[in-house]
Amino acid sequence: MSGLIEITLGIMTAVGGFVDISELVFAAQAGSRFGFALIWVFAFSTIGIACFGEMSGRVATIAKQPVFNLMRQRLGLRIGLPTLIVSSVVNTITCAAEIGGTALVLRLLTGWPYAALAVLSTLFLMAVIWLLPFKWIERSFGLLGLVMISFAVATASIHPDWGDVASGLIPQIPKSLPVKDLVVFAYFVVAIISAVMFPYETYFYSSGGIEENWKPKDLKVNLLTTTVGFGLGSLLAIAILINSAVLFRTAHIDPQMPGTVALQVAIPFGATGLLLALFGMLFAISGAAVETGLSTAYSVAQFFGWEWGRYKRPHEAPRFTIAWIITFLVALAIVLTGIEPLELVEWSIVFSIVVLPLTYLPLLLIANDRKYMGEHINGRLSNGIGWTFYGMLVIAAIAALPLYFITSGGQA
Amino acid sequence: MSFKVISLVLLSGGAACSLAQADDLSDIRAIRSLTAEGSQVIRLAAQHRLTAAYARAMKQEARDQLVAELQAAKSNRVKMLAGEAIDALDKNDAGALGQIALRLFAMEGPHERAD
Repeated sequence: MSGLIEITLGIMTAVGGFVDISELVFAAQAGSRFGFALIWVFAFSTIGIACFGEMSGRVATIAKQPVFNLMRQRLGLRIGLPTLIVSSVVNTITCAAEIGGTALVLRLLTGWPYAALAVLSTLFLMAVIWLLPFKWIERSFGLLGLVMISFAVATASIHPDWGDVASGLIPQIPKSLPVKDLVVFAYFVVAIISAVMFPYETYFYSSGGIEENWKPKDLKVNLLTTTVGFGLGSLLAIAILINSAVLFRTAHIDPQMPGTVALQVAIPFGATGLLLALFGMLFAISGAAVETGLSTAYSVAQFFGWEWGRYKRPHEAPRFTIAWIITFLVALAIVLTGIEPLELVEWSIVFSIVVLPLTYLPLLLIANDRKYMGEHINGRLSNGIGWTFYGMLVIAAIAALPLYFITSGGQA
Repeated sequence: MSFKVISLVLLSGGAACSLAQADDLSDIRAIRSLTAEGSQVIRLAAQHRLTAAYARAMKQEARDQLVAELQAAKSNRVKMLAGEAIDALDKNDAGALGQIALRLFAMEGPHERAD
């Protein structure tokens, strides 16, 4: 019975923790710009993140190796160190975007000044990490993030044409679009892949496996969390896209403000729906801020072989503790410069995809190494999906920066 | 699939020229959406379907972004439309905002449906 509860909680946490500010923004913009034509990219990327998430959890369980430990071992210092630096920069920018998003949502709830809310929310999130054990941090934000289900309820209530929605699951490049819009479409494909497969997700997930001291018996929970949990979480992002296609596209809205996304629940359910949407966004985005902040500290500590983990008291892993505190303070400083959270999201998306191939290569290599993994090495399915996605990620990484500049971050 | 993505990247080189010519297109898109978002917020707030704090913050955010667009815009046409949108927002005029959004949408050129 306790096993079933554990599995259910793991899945629910994964569902509630799946969506962050980048998925909110890109799902909403994708729906308003291209209708249902980009649903397949969300579905497709979810298979990728489920595959790599499962692999990272399995490697953490069996080989007791988190991602950045592997990176140093497999890629060496010459490639590993630049990867660490870029990953840390990306994580910090992403953390800033999430803190900015949290402050924006709080402003929509309270009307208080944005800068003050950014400072208060950063201090609150740091206090949460300092005081709560890992499991509580992960579960509380993940479970509270389930309020995001209000977006899926809104989808059901606005009665989209489900046939059209289903057709969006078929991989497609719309033929009727003018060339300039096709390039923007390509940018959205790359951006959605990056948003769904953000590298911090595997850093955090695999580090969590070690924090919680997973044993081989936990591999079933790992598999269900990454497949069912991430799959259902992805449905929330797809619901936002569908709502956007139905409610915003006809009103000529390409959401320029993150708060606009909450209208998707306000339109069918009024002020109560609006509050549910805002609270769901608040928990999902602030949860992602915690994950990105901790991920930077995990990466640096694992790479340099420092003591790390929230299962230790802060003074028992001092350099790890200092690393996450610095990450939050730098992220807050970025927010206070006045850069818009949406601009930060754009940058984090573009640079994340550049880092992704370097993140997943050592993972794929070690998951295929019998010396580390024994009987738990990758099967044909994991390898097939893993290497196929790896090839796609390399192509997406090459295309990301040119597409970003040519399309002015998808605006052109 | 990969071939198509590569083709699009190559295609994007050519597209860059035409996008550069239409240098105010992204400004028009942004102003059109902000105007439409403002219109929607005012309309829903009038129906008591939004909280007061949300409606106030969203209108202020839309106004700030429209002012930024007005200051950054190079073409007089874009400046004029951003100015009109700010006036309509200040007057809480959802109808006028909706009309401006429609005009801006038409100015963007052909819109083929992707879905």
